[in-house]
Amino acid sequence: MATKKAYLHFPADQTSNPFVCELVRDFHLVVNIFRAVVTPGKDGYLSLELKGAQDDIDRGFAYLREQGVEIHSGDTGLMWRKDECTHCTNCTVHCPTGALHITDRATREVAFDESLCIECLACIANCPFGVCRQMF
Amino acid sequence: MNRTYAQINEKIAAGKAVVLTADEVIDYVDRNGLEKAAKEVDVVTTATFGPMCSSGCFLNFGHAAPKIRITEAWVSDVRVYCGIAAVDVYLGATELRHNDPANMYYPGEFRYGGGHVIEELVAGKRLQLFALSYGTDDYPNRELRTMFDIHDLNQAIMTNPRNCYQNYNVAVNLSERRIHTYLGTLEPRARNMTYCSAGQLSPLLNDPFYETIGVGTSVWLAGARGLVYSEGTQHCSAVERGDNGVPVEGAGTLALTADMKQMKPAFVRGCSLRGYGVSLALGVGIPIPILNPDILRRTTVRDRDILACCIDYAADYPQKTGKVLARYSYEQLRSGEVQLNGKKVPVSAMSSYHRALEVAELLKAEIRDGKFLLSEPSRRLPANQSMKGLQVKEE
Repeated sequence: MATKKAYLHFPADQTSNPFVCELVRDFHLVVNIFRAVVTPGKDGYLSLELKGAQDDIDRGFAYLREQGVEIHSGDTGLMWRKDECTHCTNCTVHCPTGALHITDRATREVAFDESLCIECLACIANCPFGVCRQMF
Repeated sequence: MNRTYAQINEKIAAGKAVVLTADEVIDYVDRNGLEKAAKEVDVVTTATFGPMCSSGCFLNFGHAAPKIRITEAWVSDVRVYCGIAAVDVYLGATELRHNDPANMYYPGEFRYGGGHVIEELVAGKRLQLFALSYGTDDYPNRELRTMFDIHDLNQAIMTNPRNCYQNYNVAVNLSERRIHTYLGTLEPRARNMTYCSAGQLSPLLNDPFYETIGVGTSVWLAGARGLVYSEGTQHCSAVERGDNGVPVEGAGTLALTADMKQMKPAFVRGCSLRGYGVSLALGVGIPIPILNPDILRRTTVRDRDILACCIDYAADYPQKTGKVLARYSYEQLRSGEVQLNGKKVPVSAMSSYHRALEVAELLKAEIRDGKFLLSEPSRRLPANQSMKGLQVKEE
């Protein structure tokens, strides 16, 4: 069993295709959708986590690519810009999974563990310095 | 063992001064004893980094031909104050951008304002000036639009009426709805708590009776050599203090100034506080000369010995009831969780201890290298000064 995070960008002419259904039915993957923007006739975005056999994940990704879907593999749709962070720690209580956390109690440095991020976007609403950005 | 400012400055100039941060000095005195440490240590550096709303700057643009007096002006669409001499303006940190809907669509995002303009100025970005004026015989031009950056200005002088609060409230929300404050978003029923102080590293907590920090003290303001030009607004020294002299509430403040052309961008950051407004976060470092063992002892104050008052920002703060829910030490607050009414509450900060440590280290390095000399205050900050509320009068 493997787990893979990715966010997908699909072109406007592909937004009507039921990709998630196909990933589940044809590739036996468990799909956990974090966020999606799917509007008919416009470019679409989907941020998700896939669970399944590595081989099935690879075949699923290959299928999506054939359909013209752009895969940002291993990424979440959220960007934490380390250089912009002032390490005030304000975000740490608003982040429900501890993705944003204090990594060193003595120096109070903040770090971001992308694997824990569920893209609730609470950090975007709460960061006074606009450090977190969403990709879509 | 007493020292004078002149003796300390001689050692600094010779590159022989012993300098420690307020963080390091605690263990150093523990290990070596107060008397021995007082003989060795010349300077302790203190610092803070956090939002300081009462900040701003005077800018002088110089004259174009034909000349304009400037009676109204905007920098990057943020209004500046022009009720002073021709081509001088004051840009305030909390000023909103023109047409910002503020809290019309609550909670407002406040993406850009005075604090962000100041950040961009220091970062050397090109900004737009739009100015209007009535014409006069000597200043006939009535309208001007131009791009500029900080190097085009004659002066860009940061002038902050209230910085470096000695201590500060801890905010919580006991109501049933989410609230938005200058201490961040507070979830209902005390689901989170925010404090804002560098605690044991903070300047005025290391000099609680203002023995060395006074009018004329040289400070490190965002990397530039600045000074304390006055007590800060709302300076209120007559407050309850612990046995160590450290106040348990706001207390003292400092008015600071420095040349923005010398500042480092990392320590001048605009901030957007959802539902509240815009502000400016600044890094400030202040050296404390170890003139005698008492002054050294006060710099060894620890987070566990500094208390702050927890206030309900949904009711008691806005209604000015004066009610304090609890008191916590900064050690408790920094642990990330405290107890309120038998319930665990997660805690975070608006002030960056990490950045403050960086400032204290940078100032320490400048003093050690002989680049930063200390200055003796020309006047002490007011002691036993209280703060008035505003009486609303019918006539």
